[in-house]
Amino acid sequence: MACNASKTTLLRAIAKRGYATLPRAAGDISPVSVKVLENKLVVATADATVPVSRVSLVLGAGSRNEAYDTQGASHLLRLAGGLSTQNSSAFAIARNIQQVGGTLTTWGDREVVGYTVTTTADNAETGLRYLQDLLQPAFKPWELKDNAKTLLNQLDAVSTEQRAIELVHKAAFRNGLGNSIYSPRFQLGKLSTESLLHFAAQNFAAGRAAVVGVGIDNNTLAGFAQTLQFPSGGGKAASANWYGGDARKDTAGHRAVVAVAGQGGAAGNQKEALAFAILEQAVGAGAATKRGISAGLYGEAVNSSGGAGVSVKALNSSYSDAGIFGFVVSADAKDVGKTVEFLVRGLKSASVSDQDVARGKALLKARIISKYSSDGGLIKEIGRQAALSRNVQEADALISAIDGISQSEVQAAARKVGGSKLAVGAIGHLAGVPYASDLA
Amino acid sequence: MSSYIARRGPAVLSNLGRWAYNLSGFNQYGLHRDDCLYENEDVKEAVRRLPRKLYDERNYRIMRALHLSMTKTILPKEQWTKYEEDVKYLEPYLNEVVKEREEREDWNKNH
Repeated sequence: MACNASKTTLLRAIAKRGYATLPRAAGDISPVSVKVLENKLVVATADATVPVSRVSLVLGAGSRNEAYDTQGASHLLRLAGGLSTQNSSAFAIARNIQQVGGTLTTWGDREVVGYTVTTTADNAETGLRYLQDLLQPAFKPWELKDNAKTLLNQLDAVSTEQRAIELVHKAAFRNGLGNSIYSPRFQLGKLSTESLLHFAAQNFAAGRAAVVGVGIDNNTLAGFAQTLQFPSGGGKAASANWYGGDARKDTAGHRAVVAVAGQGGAAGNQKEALAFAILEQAVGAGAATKRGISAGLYGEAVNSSGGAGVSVKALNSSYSDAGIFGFVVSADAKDVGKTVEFLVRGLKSASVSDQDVARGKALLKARIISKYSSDGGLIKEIGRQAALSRNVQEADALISAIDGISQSEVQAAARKVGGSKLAVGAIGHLAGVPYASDLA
Repeated sequence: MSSYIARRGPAVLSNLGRWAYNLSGFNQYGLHRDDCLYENEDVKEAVRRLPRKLYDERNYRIMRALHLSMTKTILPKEQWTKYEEDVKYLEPYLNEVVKEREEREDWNKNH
């Protein structure tokens, strides 16, 4: 079942020559070449800064594709990166990739699941050989059972911030995008091999997948992608509706983490998505210095609540047809109520000055460039873009698109959040946490 | 999981095979061939991988056989396992375990 195309000497020669000339200076932004195959699979490649090949198989099988009784399937797909497939055993995958000094990692979000193999450039074939097997997972029942503990450990390691974000998605979208990217605990050990295979067969469609590479020649990768055997697919993600409301989880302790969000921008509407990304940076996506306080509205909120032990972060996610925008605040249970109310007033007032917009744009551009300039960041970024929008935007195009966003567009984005029904996801000591209906 | 469907009866039907099968006697306890395999590491692992139902049925047959052996009796003849109906339920799992072990040994020899 090996990939024969990339084994032919001619292609190998082309690839080798490519590697020799390709490595770009660190910090430079690589051009991205995109090719769409006959079966609608998107192949995108970029140059690497070091002679390391990263190839990612990105499949449209994220948690939004799960039905109510297959919740957790996408988490198990991420786990399956280390399990046997129908063509090769877990042992063979691990040892052969390790033998050439490579790694196989999985990642995913609500929309996609990605498998990335990283090897030195001259050993890319070994990586590809096992990457293609991942398209035919086996989900052997005993392997799933043996890994139940791993899954449990992964769930235990999920931070409360992340859990608040999962809860706010649940409140906002209910199903589809509301599904958690982590398997719910009641589903542990409940998903059978058959239902997982069915989930994979439905969602591993070429038309929703992408093969992306950094540090690999585009022709080589396209040759590899052509040999991939995709199941027929046919699954369709539930379209996203915004509901809003509450999803609360009371736990022991004296801290609370609250995520509050309104409707954000969909990635399908690039202008709006960028306006929201600028807004995110303007209100405070994160501090620029270690243990610092971010500039903008969210930084003010921290200051006004005394600052001690309060952390506020912007929450902004753009999915293909919907978005979510708000904040995540983590604070002492007795302070959290007034901090949340202060922040919601800010969210609703929707005032964005031109200074805010200028700062937001500068921060966003820096973030995008730094993402594009590291190989590891780049592969995920182009993988996600290629799988979801079937195209990849180069950094230059994105930067000029950001420059093209006017203050009024950012203002419109802020008004959209302020005017939408709010969703509240909260976890911890929730005595002082307001409900969504109180915040309206 | 079509590849795990067990073979029923012998690979090649023969009168000699039938004679040897009946002579071995385990069928008089209601056992199948795969119940009598010596439990080495491979077999233990294969048994662990059995689906719950097959695993329980195997245990039931073995317990019944132990009981019959203890009471020095055998099953009535209509309950004996027939040569044609002996299910090699462990075979697909065992083959896989052996293949995996050989792959590991092969790897350790060459790397």
